[in-house]
Amino acid sequence: MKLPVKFVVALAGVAALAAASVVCVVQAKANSPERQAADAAVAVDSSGQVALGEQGRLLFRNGAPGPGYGNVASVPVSDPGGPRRISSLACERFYTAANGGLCLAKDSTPMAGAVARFVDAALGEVKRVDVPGIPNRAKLSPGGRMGSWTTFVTGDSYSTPGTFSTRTAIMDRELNELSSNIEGIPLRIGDVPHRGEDVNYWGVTFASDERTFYATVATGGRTYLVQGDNTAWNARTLRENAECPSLSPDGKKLAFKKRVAEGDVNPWREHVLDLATMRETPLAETRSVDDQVVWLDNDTIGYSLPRGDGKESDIWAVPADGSGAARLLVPLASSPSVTGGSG
Amino acid sequence: MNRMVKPGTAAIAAIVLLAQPVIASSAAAGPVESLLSVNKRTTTSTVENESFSGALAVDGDSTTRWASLEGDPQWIAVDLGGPADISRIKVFWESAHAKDYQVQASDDGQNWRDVKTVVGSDGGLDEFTDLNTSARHVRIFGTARATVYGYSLWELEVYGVRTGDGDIQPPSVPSGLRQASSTTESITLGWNPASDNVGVVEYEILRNGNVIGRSATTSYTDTSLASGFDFQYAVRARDAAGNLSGSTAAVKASTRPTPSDGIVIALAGDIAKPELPSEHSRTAELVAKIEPRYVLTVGDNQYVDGTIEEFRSYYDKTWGKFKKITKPTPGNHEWNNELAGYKQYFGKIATPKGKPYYSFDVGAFHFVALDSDPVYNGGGAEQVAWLRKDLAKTKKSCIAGYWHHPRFNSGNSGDAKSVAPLWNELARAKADVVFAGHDHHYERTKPLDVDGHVDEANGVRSVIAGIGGDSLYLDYKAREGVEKILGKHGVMKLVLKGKTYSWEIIGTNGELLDKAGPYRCR
Repeated sequence: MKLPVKFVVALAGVAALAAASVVCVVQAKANSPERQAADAAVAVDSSGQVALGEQGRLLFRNGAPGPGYGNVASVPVSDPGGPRRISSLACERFYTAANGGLCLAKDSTPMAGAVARFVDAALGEVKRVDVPGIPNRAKLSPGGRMGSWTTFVTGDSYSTPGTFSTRTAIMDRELNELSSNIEGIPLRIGDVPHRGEDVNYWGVTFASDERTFYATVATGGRTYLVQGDNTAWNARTLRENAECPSLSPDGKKLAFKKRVAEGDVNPWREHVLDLATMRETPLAETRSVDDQVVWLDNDTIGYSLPRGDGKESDIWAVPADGSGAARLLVPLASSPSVTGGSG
Repeated sequence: MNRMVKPGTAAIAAIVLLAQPVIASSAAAGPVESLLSVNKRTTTSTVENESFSGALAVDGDSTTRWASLEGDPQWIAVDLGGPADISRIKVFWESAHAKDYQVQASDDGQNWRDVKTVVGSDGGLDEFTDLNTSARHVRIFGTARATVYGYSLWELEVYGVRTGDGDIQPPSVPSGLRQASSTTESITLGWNPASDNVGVVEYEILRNGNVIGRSATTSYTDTSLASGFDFQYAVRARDAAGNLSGSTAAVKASTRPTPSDGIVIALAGDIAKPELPSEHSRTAELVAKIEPRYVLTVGDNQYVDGTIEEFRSYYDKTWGKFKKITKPTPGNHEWNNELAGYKQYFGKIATPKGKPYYSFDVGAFHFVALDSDPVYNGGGAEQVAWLRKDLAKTKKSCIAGYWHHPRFNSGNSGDAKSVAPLWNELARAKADVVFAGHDHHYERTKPLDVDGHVDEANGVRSVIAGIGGDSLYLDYKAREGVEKILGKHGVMKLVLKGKTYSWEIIGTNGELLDKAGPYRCR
């Protein structure tokens, strides 16, 4: 058995672990906001359903207080500040691609658990996978065949003090093949086969060939950007200090968060890596983005940022070439993705 | 502070803890102390999750526990239900124990006074005697933790004499406890009724020191036990007010042995962890009881690195007794040491043909014992080629494989695609079953195809038995095809009869955890 030694961090709790930006942020749930009165400032569009087959929609997790809090919602990409349609599907993370969706939700079982739901265009469940841990990340490949998710897990054994870990899974819908923990993938660091007891993956993004993926791997106290092949089942590191990668629709660039400061105070700066030259470009967003961002199109990055008190977050956009400035897209929202030809 | 146990010897120590007879609080004639806290209402500062509630620290079951969230302070309080003269308190910590804490008492559950202050506890069992304090509530108030985790408590026991109004008199101790009858899997106990000033409402039955059941009558049938095992039973009585009698002296009872006309094999993996000597010692006792012809191991025989020093210090003292009949396979932990310690310890047994993989025949069965670590890490082509040749040669009707890394797995590691070359060779040879370890739980599946989907006609059964002694991992999620899954320490008793096979999983307390088969070879 591999030791569940992952991050050696002494933290005050699992919630603190998430908030401490060890990996991509988990959206903290306020005190039952779904029971609060609806926010009058957030307009709701009751004229239509949330439909993943409808092009030009920005999907997200609704963070506006009221009955639809935590549910998948959508707005037109052309009018992201406009009235939102809110579904009844509750997710901690949601991602849409190829007229389908992947919803990573909390499970209602007594043990800390999550459930990964693949849904059709009408948000109906087509495949369900029970997952241990606390929801953190979820993403589909551009063609919708490959799904991947990351959860935080804490071992049931207390025999190895001070350890926390993530669990990252890849589901191949076409082969109906689930790799519930990809830590076993043969890994090379540079050219050297790595037999680490402590490897830990998070934040997978798939290419359009439905087999190549990028992710973050941590081992030996370092984090690397890793490129994997889900068919050949091997992986190799590309560089250090590039977490939560997100591949551009044209497959040429990776957006990622780079650690620019030690500790928990504003540690991240979002960058874009050109895979041909391996040159990185810092984006105009200077706030610390702790998210696995998405590409709204080949030129624009979307991401969620917590507000001052950390309980609520908004979706922002920034040009992918380092120019311009960040702009607010959707208030009280997180976990963005778009329908229609974008990954 | 009386540290009676080392961390990790939980179950053994718990038996000591709970099986101690209730003794008089003083030599002088007077009220007899009894256990006041069992199943009483608890309150806690926090719980880690619903599976670790405060009630589990006063349930008389030392395999369940309360666990708090991280942070200081944290506390657990028990309401004894009425005032009492408290004579003795036992605090049995899990390995995530308090370093500094207070034992507190209160009459109203609001205002607390310190009864004892503990600084620098080393965990295990802390027992406080001669307390002579009157209170209705007792609280363990942790101010500093020994680990980065929360506070975790197997059991909290408060002993004393009730002093309040109403019924404060416990029932008499039941008498005449005896084994009334038994089968190969069950034991029926009988006893004489206890008396009480108001009335006995039920009896609690303890097996090997832990409450395992309740009965409103004077008999109880304990089921799902391994055959041919001995158990120690005791019984105590409870009245409507919750007063609990002392326990009877322990009585030995036994299940009937199973007549076996087959070939018996013991199997487990993930065995000798230096920090948990009691667990592999107990699984080794099971192996001895099973009286196998062979012992098969599915890797990680010795932690942490499988050095010769570690093998000699731990494995050799327990499972080493069966070395001559052992047919081992190595795991990733032996590979930490490049198999040097493993090969030196087992000698020719581990490498009959010079390699750490080999095959042998038992009755109608052909066994292949493989070294999965190199394959798991993307190599091992030479072994796969050997395996294909070996399987092509065998004339046996039944084929079983065993190695460390499971191809299909509901546990922590999940399915391992890199092990497919081994599984696929077994599938091609129409093998019947594959045994593995690596994740520390037990599971068995219906026959699976090469992609891990159920194929009753042409699949291979997948079994994980990484329950030989290392810490259990309970965060499994049953995958497709799983027929049984559980997380307890134990050993597989595999029985081969002609061209059929079956097995039982026997837990370290002698419970029959699972029965599988008989299956006919395909």
